[in-house]
Order: sequence, then structure tokens, then C-alpha cells
Amino acid sequence: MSAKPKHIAIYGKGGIGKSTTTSNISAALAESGFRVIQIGCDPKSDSTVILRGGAELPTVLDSLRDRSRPKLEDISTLGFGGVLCIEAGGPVPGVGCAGRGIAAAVDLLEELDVFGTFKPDYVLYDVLGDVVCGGFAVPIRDGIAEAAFVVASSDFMAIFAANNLFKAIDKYAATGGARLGGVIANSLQTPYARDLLDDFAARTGTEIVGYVPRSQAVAQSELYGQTVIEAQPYSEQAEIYRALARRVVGDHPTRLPKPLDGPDLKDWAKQWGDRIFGVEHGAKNSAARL
Amino acid sequence: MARPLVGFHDGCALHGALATAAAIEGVTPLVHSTPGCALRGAFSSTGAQNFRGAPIHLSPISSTNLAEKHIVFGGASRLREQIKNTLSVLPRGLLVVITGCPTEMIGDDVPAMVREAVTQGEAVVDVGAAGFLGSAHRGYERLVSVLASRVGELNLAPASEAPGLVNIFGIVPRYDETWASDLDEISRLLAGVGLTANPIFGPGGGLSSLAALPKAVASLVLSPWGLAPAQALQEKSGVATVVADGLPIGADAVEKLLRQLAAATGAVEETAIERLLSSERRYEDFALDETLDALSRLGRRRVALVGNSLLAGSLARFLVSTLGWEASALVLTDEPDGPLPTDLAGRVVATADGVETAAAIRASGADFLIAGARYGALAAELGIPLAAIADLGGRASLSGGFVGARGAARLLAALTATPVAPKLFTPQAALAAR
Ligand SMILES: Nc1ncnc2c1ncn2[C@@H]1O[C@H](COP(=O)(O)OP(=O)(O)O)[C@@H](O)[C@H]1O
Ligand code: SF4
Ligand code: SF4
Ligand SMILES: [Mg+2]
Repeated sequence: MSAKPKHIAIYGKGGIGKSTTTSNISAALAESGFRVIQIGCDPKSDSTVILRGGAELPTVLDSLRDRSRPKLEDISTLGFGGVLCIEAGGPVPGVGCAGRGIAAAVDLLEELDVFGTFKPDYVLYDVLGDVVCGGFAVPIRDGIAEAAFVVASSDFMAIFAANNLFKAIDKYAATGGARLGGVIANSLQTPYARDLLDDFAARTGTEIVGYVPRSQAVAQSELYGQTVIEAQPYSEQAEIYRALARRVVGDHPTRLPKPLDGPDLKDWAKQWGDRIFGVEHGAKNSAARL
Repeated sequence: MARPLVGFHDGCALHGALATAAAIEGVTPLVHSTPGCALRGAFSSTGAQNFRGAPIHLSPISSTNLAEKHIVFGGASRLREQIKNTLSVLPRGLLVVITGCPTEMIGDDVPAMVREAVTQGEAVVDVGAAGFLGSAHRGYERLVSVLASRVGELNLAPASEAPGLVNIFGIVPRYDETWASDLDEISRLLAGVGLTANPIFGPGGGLSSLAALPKAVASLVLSPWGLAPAQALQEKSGVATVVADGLPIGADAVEKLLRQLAAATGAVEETAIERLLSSERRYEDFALDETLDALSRLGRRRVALVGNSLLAGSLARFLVSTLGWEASALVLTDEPDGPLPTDLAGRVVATADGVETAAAIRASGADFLIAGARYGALAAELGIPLAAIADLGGRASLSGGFVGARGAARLLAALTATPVAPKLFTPQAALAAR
């Protein structure tokens, strides 16, 4: 469709729901007729499972092992709605350098002219957890993704990871790196979760681009190796993902976040801890009174 | 070394460990790193000018030559394979696995691979010598410390008894250019008083020398880099540590050293010391007589000294106490840890950087320079004589040492090698005046 594909990176701590969310966004975009590539940048190599029904897919880095120069067909497969699924791959936990792996995989995809060949409208990168080192920042550095989103919950570690991503974005912005698209709130359950995330966004000069509730539909679809868009297209959750997809690829102000520094983040967390603890405490007390 | 260096004086820690391992006969170094690390070992020990390709002057080096896939997926299994291959083509001895920056950064489990080979009855040790840990001298320190503390586990053939054995620590093969010559002369001096030097490196050393480390009566530490190995050995095997004031240059320094050793070991006869010292003194006096004319033409000089801590401080002391010269600057290019020599306080700089070194030389107002040959241009520009004590290529290791009276003689020869024409009368000046 468009001449130049839009590249978007989605970050967040492990297990927060990056792959689920990214896959549903990809599925929603594909459903609307867009050509989409989803690239899993996580050594777990499970980013695109629910797009491809769990079918076997060799990773990009597997080809490094035998020094062969793979063809695009070897390292990609078409999933739901024609989404081109690619897994960067990487070492097993505890050995090697996953960061270099991401950089090497991205280089190889460029060499294979994946984008020139497939001509996507959107390329989504689903990137592993914390930005611990330079390797994990490759997708937000010069010339790759133009916007980065972070999936977070009201969990402190998820917010800590988001704050770290903000730091990386600020660092690379000066040299042409990605801007921040915003925060995707996922798996919200507790009553205070939304307020807490809103407050974090306000403090850091960012924006929540979507609130995805915790939903049975996600777990059910996952059991069939499918996205919610595919398995339960008429569900409320599917609608939420569609809206999120429109928001993520749509035109919106991208910005430079203002990450909190260590002490500020701690103070902020403590404040919220007092509030939440107070709330639960209060609730218990009133329950005891009954 | 967390800053840019220009005209660097030293290799990286891996290069020091590599040169050190290669200087022990029977040891095969195995570099676990990317290909350039092993190759650059040659580059950094000969200087860029003399680089001629592969390091032919080093013993066979095995290297895992890691490619990108090993960085991404880990290089441990590549190491396992290389250990096996190396042992199958090289004579049994000791394999020293030296890890460089890339493998240290990605955290390859090198000890596990080495343990695996050791349980199969092979003699293998590993030392982490990533260049970011420091200079070549640091690499020596790390490797020799590992050898000293693990010598008992290395399956080496037991060493024969050598009464009065003294381990020599702190002379770094190749990076202290006169290493072999200095080890040789120290060995000769110790033999003169009934002690046996254990030089570890060069023709007098080897695997049996390693095996003998714990049997020594003392470990003699000649530079700050020898201290950790000596202490490791002391902890493990109770060998006493004797810390000397650098390389003993001239008869007085030899006397001081021998008395230290006598006190520490109780194994040296006073008469033997006296006998040796009198011959040392006669030799030194002879050398002074022979160079007297040239020395008096030089006059008393303000000298700037550039060298490693093994050598530079002792050189300065000899020049000050024996010739009455003044040391106006001392640049320690191996950047030793710990306190700098106090007798030259205020005039000592520790830097491996060529530009900083040149600045220190200029600022010193010296009228004589003792440094590596690379400072020839600077000396010419300043119009002062240069006695080259480094950057001399392999010949320095054979015949360039500065230990004892013979070393002092070589120093005197070097000082007077640059002809200094009398200031008052030169043929050119006379011609120009006509
Ligand atoms: N909104 C949600 N509701 C219910 N379960 C969810 C939701 N988002 C994610 N999950 C579940 O959480 C688990 C981890 O999600 P995943 O996308 O694999 O995380 P990540 O890619 O960040 O490591 C999965 O089992 C997924 O089904
Ligand atoms: S921290 Fe990053 S660069 Fe370092 S080994 Fe891990 S992935 Fe590689
Ligand atoms: S500094 Fe590191 S990478 Fe460079 S040669 Fe030394 S060990 Fe190898
Ligand atoms: Mg994932």
C-alpha cells in the first residue's frame, strides 16, 4: 500500500504480554487488509506462535549456526491474514550474547532485503524485556523503528522496565533513534491499576494509548494457537485490540519521555505503595467491622 | 586504561598473558577470543613499525578464532573442540587457555570446559585476560598468579630437588624487553652465592621450573607485577616473599638484594656474598674507568627516564648515586598499581600514553633522555642525547640486560653511545667561524 513501511517496536518486561498484544495488533491490521511483518526479537522465539497456529519456524539466527545464507522462505512463514512471521532467535538462557543476536538478525534481514521483497505496510518488532544493553536497543536506534511502545501493567517491575526504555529512547533520540509512541496498559485487574499507570504516564510526559483488560478470551485463544482476532473475532476483547491497532499505527504525536531518575522512581513507588496498602488496609478494617 | 591512548607503550592484558605463556617452554597458549586478539599479540610486542604479519617469534598459538555465531550462541563448545584439537596435534605439556574481551563479556563458562579436560587427565588451566582489565603487565600478573596458586593441580612431572631455589617474579617476557638477559644475569648472581634461581621463563625455565615453584625457599619480587604471584604462592605453599627495589643495577644494588635474600632464607654464606660482591665491584669499576672519558665529556646530566617499573626507578637510583646525575622526570609506562617510588616524589608519572610521556619529558627540562628508541625524534627536536633502552627488537632480550655490574656496564655504554661533541670546539663551528 504505502511506499514506505512504518516500523514500530514494542517493548516491555518478560511475561507482560508483548507477544500477545503485538500478535493481536498484527492480526487486526492484517484483517483490515494491510501487509504486516511481525519480527520477534526475543531468544524465546515465541513471538508469532499465536499467528501461525504453533507451526514450526526456524529462526533467523539458526542460519548463523551453520553459516549458510538463508533465503527469506527459510526463516519466515505466513500466519493469520498473511502476516509474515519472523523470529530472530538467540541463545539459550545463560550463554552467549542475545543482544548481539538481535543486532546480527536485524543485519541479516536487511541483507536479505525482506522489506523490499515483501513490501509491508507495517513492521512490528516484539522486543525482549528490559533494555539491558546496547543489543536490545538496536530496534530503536537510527533508521529502524520510528516509534516505540511499551507494554506495562501496574506491577512495579513492569513500570521499572518502561522507565528504562524511556531512558534508552532519550539517549538515542539525538542520533535519529525512535520516538515514544506511548504506553500500552495490559492485564489491568485491580481497581487502582488504571490510576497508577495514568499517574506514571503523567509524571513521565507520556500517554496511555490503550487499556487492555485481563481477559479469558486471550487464554482461550492461546490454547488454540490463535489470536483473539482470529478465534473470537466478535468478542469485546477483539474490539479492544482493533482499537489499539488503529491507535498504534495511526498518526499521533510521538514524543520524548521524561524518565524518572532512581530516587524519584523509588519515591513515586513508595507513595503508591502507601496509597494501595492504605486502600486494602482500609478495606480489611471495614470488612472486620462488619 | 579508561581513556584514549596515543602511542601506547604496552599491549593489552591478553597480549601480556600470551607472551608470558609462550615464554615457558612446554606451555601452549590457547587464545579463546576473536581472531585479531592472538594476531595482535605480535603487533603489540614489536611495535607497529616492526609488524610483519603472523607472530613467528612466538611458540605455536592455538586460537578459537570466534565468529559471530559463537558470540551470539556462546563460544564454550568451540573452546571444548579447540582444546581437544590442540591436545591432539601438540606435544603434551601444559595448555593455558587465555580469554579475551569478547568471551569475558558474554560470560562463556571457560572454567567448566577446562575442568572437563582436566578430569580427562589433561593439564589445562585458564586465565581471564580481557584487554579491558589492563595492560600487558596486568596480563602477566594474572597468568602467573593463576599458575602459582594452581601449580599443584597441573599434573606436571615432579620437580627435582633444588636446594636454595629462588623464584624470580616481576620480569614480564617481551614487554620488559631485556627480560631473558636480566633473568640470565640474576641466575648467575644467585648461583654465585649458592642459591639457584628459578627463572620460569626463557631457556632456563620451562615446565620443570613451574613444577618447582612451591619448593623454593623464597620468591623474589622485582616489580609490582610480581607481587600478586608471590603472594599467591606464599598463601598456597608458604614460600616467603622478598620484595626488592626493582632490578638490581650495579654492585650496590646487588649487595642490597643479596643481603635481603640472605636474611629471608638464612641459606647464604656471608663469605660467598663478599666474594661475589668484590668481583662485581671490580667489574663495575673497570666499566667506569673505561667510560670515564666519555662520561666526563657528558658531565652531570639532568635526565628524563621513560621505562617500565622494573627498570626505570633502579636506573634513576644508579644514575643519581653512582654518577651523581639528577633525575628530573621518571615516566613509568606500565602504569603500576600502588604507591610510586618515594625517593623521586613529585617527578614520577605513571602513564602508558605516548603524548603524556612526551609532555612529561618536555616539562622536565632534561638535558639527557633515557627512553625507548621511539623517542628519537623528540630527543633530536630537543637537541638532547638519547640512550635507547627499549624498542630495540629481540636483541635486547639477549644482550641488553641491566642486572648487576655487567648491566651497569651496558648502561654506561648506552649512555656514552651518543657522541656528544665538546661544546666549545666543533669542526663545523670552526669552519663557519672562518
Ligand atoms: N490481556 C491479557 N489477558 C489475559 N492473559 C494475557 C493477557 N495478556 C497476556 N496474557 C497472557 O500472559 C502470558 C504472557 O504473555 P506474552 O505475550 O507471552 O508475554 P511476553 O511476550 O511479554 O513475554 C500469556 O500466557 C498470555 O496469554
Ligand atoms: S548484556 Fe547484552 S551485550 Fe552483554 S552479553 Fe548480555 S546480551 Fe550481550
Ligand atoms: S583488548 Fe581485548 S579484543 Fe583487543 S586484543 Fe586485547 S583481548 Fe583482544
Ligand atoms: Mg514474548
